[in-house]
Amino acid sequence: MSEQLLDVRGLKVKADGKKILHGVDLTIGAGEVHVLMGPNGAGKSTLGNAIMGHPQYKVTDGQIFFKGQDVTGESVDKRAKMGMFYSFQNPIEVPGVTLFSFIRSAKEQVSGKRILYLQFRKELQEKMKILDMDPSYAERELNVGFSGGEKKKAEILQLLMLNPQFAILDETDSGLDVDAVRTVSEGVREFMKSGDKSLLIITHATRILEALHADKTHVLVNGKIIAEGDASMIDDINENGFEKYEQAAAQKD
Amino acid sequence: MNQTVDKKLDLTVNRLPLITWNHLHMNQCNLSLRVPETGAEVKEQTWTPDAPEGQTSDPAVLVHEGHMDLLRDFSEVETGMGADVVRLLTAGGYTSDVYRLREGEGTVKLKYALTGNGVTANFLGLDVKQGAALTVIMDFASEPAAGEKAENSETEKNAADTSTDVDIIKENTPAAAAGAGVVLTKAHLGKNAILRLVQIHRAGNDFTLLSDTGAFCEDGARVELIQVVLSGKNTLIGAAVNLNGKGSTFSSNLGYRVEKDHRLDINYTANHFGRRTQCDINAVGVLRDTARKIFRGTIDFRNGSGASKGNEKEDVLLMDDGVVNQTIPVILCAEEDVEGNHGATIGELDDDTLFYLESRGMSEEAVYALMERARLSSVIRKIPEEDTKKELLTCIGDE
Amino acid sequence: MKEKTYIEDVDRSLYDFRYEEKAEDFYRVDEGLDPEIVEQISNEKNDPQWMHDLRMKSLEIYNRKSIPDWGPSIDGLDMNRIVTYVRSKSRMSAKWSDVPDDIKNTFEKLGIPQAERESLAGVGAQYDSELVYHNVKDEVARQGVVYTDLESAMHGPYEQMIRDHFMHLVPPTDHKFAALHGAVWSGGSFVYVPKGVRVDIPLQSYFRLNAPGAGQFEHTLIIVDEGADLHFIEGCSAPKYNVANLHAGCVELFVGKNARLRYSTIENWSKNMYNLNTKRAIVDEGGRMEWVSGSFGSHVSYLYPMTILNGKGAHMEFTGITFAGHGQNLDTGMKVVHGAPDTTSVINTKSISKSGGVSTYRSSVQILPQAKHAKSTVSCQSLMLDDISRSDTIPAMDVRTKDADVGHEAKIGRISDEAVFYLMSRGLSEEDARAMIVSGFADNVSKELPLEYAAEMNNLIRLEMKGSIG
Repeated sequence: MSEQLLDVRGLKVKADGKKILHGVDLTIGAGEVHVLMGPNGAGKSTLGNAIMGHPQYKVTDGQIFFKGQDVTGESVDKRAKMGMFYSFQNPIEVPGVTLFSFIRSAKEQVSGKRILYLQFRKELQEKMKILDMDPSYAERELNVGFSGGEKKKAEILQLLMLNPQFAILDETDSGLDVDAVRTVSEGVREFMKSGDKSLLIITHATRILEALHADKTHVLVNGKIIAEGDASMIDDINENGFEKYEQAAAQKD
Repeated sequence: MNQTVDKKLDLTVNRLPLITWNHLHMNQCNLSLRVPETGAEVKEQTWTPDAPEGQTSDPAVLVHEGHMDLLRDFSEVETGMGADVVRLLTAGGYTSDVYRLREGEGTVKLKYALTGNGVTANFLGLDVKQGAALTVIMDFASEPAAGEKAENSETEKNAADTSTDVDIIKENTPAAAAGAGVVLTKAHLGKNAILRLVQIHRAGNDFTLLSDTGAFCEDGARVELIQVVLSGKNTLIGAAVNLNGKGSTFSSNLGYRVEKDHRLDINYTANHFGRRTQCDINAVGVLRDTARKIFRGTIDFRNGSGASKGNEKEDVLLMDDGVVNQTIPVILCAEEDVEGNHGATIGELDDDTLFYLESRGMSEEAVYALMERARLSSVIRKIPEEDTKKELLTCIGDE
Repeated sequence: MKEKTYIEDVDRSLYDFRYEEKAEDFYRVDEGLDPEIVEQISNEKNDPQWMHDLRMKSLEIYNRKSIPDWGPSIDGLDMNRIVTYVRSKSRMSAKWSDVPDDIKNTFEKLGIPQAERESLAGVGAQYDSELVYHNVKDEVARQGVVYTDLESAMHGPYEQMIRDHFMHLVPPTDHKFAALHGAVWSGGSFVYVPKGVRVDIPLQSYFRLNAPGAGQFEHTLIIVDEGADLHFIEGCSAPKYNVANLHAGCVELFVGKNARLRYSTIENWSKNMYNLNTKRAIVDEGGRMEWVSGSFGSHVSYLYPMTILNGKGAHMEFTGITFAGHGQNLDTGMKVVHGAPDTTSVINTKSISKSGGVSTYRSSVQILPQAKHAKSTVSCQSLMLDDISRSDTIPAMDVRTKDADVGHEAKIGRISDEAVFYLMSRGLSEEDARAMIVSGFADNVSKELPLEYAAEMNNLIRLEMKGSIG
């Protein structure tokens, strides 16, 4: 087994006073692609938010290790600087801040050094081309008035520009048309090109997975991982639903 | 120099058109100011298209004229601070400039040097004739060196020198400062005329600036006001636009950063007289340290202003616990067929936005710095003159 | 169906009817205000010494204070012509049958006894300066709930409690008319809800000012102890006379830790009334104050219920509507002070101006430095029904901590022609269509009121909208 990049141990999480995750274990090695599936309300986004460190998702028990370090109490920007990335299901609109100046500021913060304007612009334009984004988007306010597809592209653009070690893609493919999924998948493949990056993909569908080889699948139901397996599980779930796994889990209890 | 030098006047400026509870100290700004002796030095004065002074026979030319009589000329133009500014100017000395654009497009750039311990006063008249479009950039700046010096000696001075030119009377009045400058700008816009007025306020840590503006619009005229506030011990801004003519419009973009113990006191009024008139007032800003700011913004729909619209918005980011933010967005309405909206958001960044930006690796401090830059730059980017825009973007560290 | 009939049957005469009072049946002090008159009221009411002193001190303050320089003109109010104290010669009763016939008939017409039987836990009825009737249902009284007139409470076991609270929240120094109130107050109610007691059905006070040229100065003092819960309803009306009447009441509300108080008012004073009322609440940790306020009557109103959120997590909600018609200048709104962490306030107001009426929404939201994570949301909407009326909005916000979240939204506009057209295309007359739209506009308040009050309010709107076309 490859070296562990992310190691979640016995994670319990509360949000809005409600217990949502009841002890989740999840290990992702360097270079691995993991898929997290589960019915609506199972706690998938909660897990993503908790790994990234959203203050409204309170970890009541358990630990999160990243690159061997316990980051459970670490601030969100520190996690990002360590190489974590979370692609939001519903990216926030930030009026007044252009996509260009935002990504540049973030990149400077993450890399800890000043980035030359021209060099940055060139790189940004290259990545935008991969994602089939018009260069004028750089001067638009971050996510303001973006369509669903444009928001997801802007997320993947940030992924490519910040180039983290590990990314959580939360429903990045949902609500997109076929062309947009293809473009977004192209972006993700570009990100994975170097071979040492890891992904946790939260999804309902398989379209985004067609371009990627999934190493492992986890099924999350009612705040617990009830089944794990290889990539073949994805097809099985898509054909037969979660019922089988839920029943099996119920019998185990 | 002469006997008026020591004379002080008590002024009431920036008063709300309709006042509210006095205990809130938001109705007006009271200050006591020494009567000005002369005008501030206008360091740079450039204008295009250029023409020899006094050549009024060429109608396509921007004409620069000399001294005007404040009581007579532009007397139809009301300003945001109120009548006390004219009272102050006429009680002492002031310089005046008048630009008259007969047709076509013209640009005037003026740099005012705010220095010294005295009180200076300048009057600017802008007469934009039918169909003409005038752009005016006014930059009020204390010499950087003077500003630094003032900062070093500030505590000393405040302790020692009690006979400053601006006196504290009570809450929401300017703090003690060494020097003061008053700039009164009045504009008259003919039919379908356009005035793009850019004012940059960056007085020093020991300086009080009163920047008062008023415009009168005939049918179809348009005033686009852009104001940026970057520094200044006390910055008082008044702006009033009378939308007299049918279909005349006023849009305003104000961006401010107030820090240290600085104060910013603003009074905007849009008076809708004509039918189908429209105003859009947008203010964005950031308060740091122990800064205080009051924003008064009034949309006044007078009887007869049917089919008019007015919008007003302020968005303030509070960065430190010592700040005081006061906002009072007023709508007065004596007309049925109008639409008025005002909104205000005051406080810290919401958790979700903060998390989103932090998840990209920015510290909270960096996120706030980014938001501060973004607010200022969103206003600066609207400046129609490239050199000024570039210089200001560099000044705030954007680009 | 029953409610519908009720709406259509009622008309303005319900409020405007009046009985000519026979002079020999009533005790009244002379017009105007001087120490002798205040002395006379104090004697008449058998004040304890501290109350007598408070009255005298208030009179001094009243004489010292100037009238406000903001707000509508009150020049038409001549204090030298106002009779500050009028009462029926018969004393307060706990049985409707003992109330003098003409007074009883007045309240019968207003539907008060019927409402008591049907939906209220207790009722107080004030006629001119004094309560004529006071009663609480037995089961409520058994829970330890006190609902009585202030005068008798002041001479009973609650004297100290009243002394500790009376005009502590609204001191006579607050403004000129608070001082006037302190000097000449009479009537009103005292309510005490003990710890943990929940009063499931509302208590109500009804104020009727019948005497011409008189003032009404009732004082309402409500203390809702820790964890307790109460809904209090206040109704006001008066017939129309040609001389100015004055209402300068005072309401002081104390909401304990984790307690809840809802205070609902439908004010329908006649249009010669100067309504200079002061209402204030202070809320402890985790407590909840809810105001529901409908202002329809009076010639001039100054009314800004204020809430001080004094304990961590205290919450306040204000829902209000003001309808200013012909000859009315209604200056209404609210004030809130966030004085503790995690306090929240939600304000939702509507105002309507018609037939030359002037309505002003005036408010202040203050977030003090210690009120970390305070959150305030304000929404106010104004509707102009013609171009001879006026509608002004003057909201002030003062924020002194960075950890605050203050949002404010205001809109002013008219009834959309499309909406009127749409309803008319379904067969409604224009008048009905407009009335329906205005009622819909006012539903923020009507849906917060008990059914019969919501019906009364809709009826008032319908009356105001009559003849509004053409």
